[in-house]
Amino acid sequence: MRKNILKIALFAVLLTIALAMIGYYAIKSSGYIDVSELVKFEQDRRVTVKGKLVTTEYDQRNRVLYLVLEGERGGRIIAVVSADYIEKKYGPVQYLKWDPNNIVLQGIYRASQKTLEVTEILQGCHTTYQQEPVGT
Amino acid sequence: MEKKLLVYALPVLIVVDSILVTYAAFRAPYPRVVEFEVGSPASYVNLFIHVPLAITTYFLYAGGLFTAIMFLWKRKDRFDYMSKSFISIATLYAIYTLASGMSWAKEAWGAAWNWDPRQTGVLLLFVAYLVYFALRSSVSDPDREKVVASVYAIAAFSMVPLSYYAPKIAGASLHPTGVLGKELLAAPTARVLFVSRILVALSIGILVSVLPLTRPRQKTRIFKLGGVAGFTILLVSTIALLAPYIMHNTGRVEGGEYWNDTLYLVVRTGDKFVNLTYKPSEGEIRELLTEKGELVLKEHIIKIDLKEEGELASIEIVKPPTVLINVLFYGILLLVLGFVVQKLAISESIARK
Repeated sequence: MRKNILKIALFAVLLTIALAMIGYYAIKSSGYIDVSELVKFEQDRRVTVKGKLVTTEYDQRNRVLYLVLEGERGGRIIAVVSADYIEKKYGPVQYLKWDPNNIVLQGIYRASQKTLEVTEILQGCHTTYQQEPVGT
Repeated sequence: MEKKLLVYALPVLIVVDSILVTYAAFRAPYPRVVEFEVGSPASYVNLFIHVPLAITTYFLYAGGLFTAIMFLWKRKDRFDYMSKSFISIATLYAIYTLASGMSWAKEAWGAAWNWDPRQTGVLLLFVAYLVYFALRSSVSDPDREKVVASVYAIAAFSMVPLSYYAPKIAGASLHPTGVLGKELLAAPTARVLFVSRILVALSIGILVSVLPLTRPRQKTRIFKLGGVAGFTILLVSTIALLAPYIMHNTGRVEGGEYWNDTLYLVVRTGDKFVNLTYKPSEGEIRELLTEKGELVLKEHIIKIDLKEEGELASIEIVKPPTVLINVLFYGILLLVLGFVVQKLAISESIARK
């Protein structure tokens, strides 16, 4: 009887771990749309998009940063980020550094203009501006 | 006496919940402006309709887990019955959660399905529990069926915390953060409404799951009547929400600005864009613009009642289709629950005679 209970408990634990791992992997790989899929959308959508950074341009007068992103299977969009957002999160725009192969942005995709109004930069951006730690 | 109270409690709770959902659809608060979405801010009344049912789903699956463990420990049939019952009812709630979530996503994110981490998590949860039923029906030996089902119910529950924490696991989600929810629930009436909905929906779910086991001797027709009453209330609410679309022209405000005491709006009706103006009173203009001067009406659906060519007689916001759909879906769920509990109560009484 005791051996039976232990067998059942062990099977329950192993099955739980197996299901949890499948679920974890499925969730981990969900959520991002590649730029090549995004360009096919015909209506405005809120999206989290992943792409490769081709080039950037900063419009100092309007305080807007433009990013050109490319998808795995081609297709390009322009992502528009406000300087206010960048300065709040990363500091001055001129000190930004990009990991060009790993850009993930969240925002509203305007299908008619193939433009992404960025609300969050989730991956691929950091600042090169770092203060040296104060020595003791 | 206690059993009689429980029997009458269920239809009363169903009617109470349908009144709460109606109140939420018409009077619940929503954000003035939602910057990061494409749809009407009024769709956020779904916070009081969709979210409590999602929370109830998790709790009912937890009930299934707990009773499955109790069955494996005590080997009493009533625990297996309760586990199956909790999981069955939770799965009906999960269907509603998915459907109402998709309807809200269509409005807020532009598409019903986005492979958003939480959407994916809840779908996986639903599929995992569908396998539970398939497993039960595939095992021919009744004693073995109960053990296998209980073990699987324990394993499948792992999808509940995964779906809840999915946004953190994936690192990004289209689901709103808790910040917006906290702002909406800051007002005491909103908090009371939200908590009441969770408590009442959960009570209904638990009663539907366990009532048949108590073998109520009263006419079980009362359960069906409760479901019909709840459905009828929500059907009437849906018709009331639909009325502006039928009786008036409506359109979605795509943009606009306030200049020279006049509001200039660009409104989309179908595939066309029309330019409309409105002269608000001083009190009204404070309602229609934020402190930063942003137009509160952006993405809202409004009634188009014209005083004269191109000029609106009034500004009246209309609830977006997602609210109507979710109210109607919930009415259908309550109707199904009423029928299900009546059928189970009858069959349980017959089986144990």
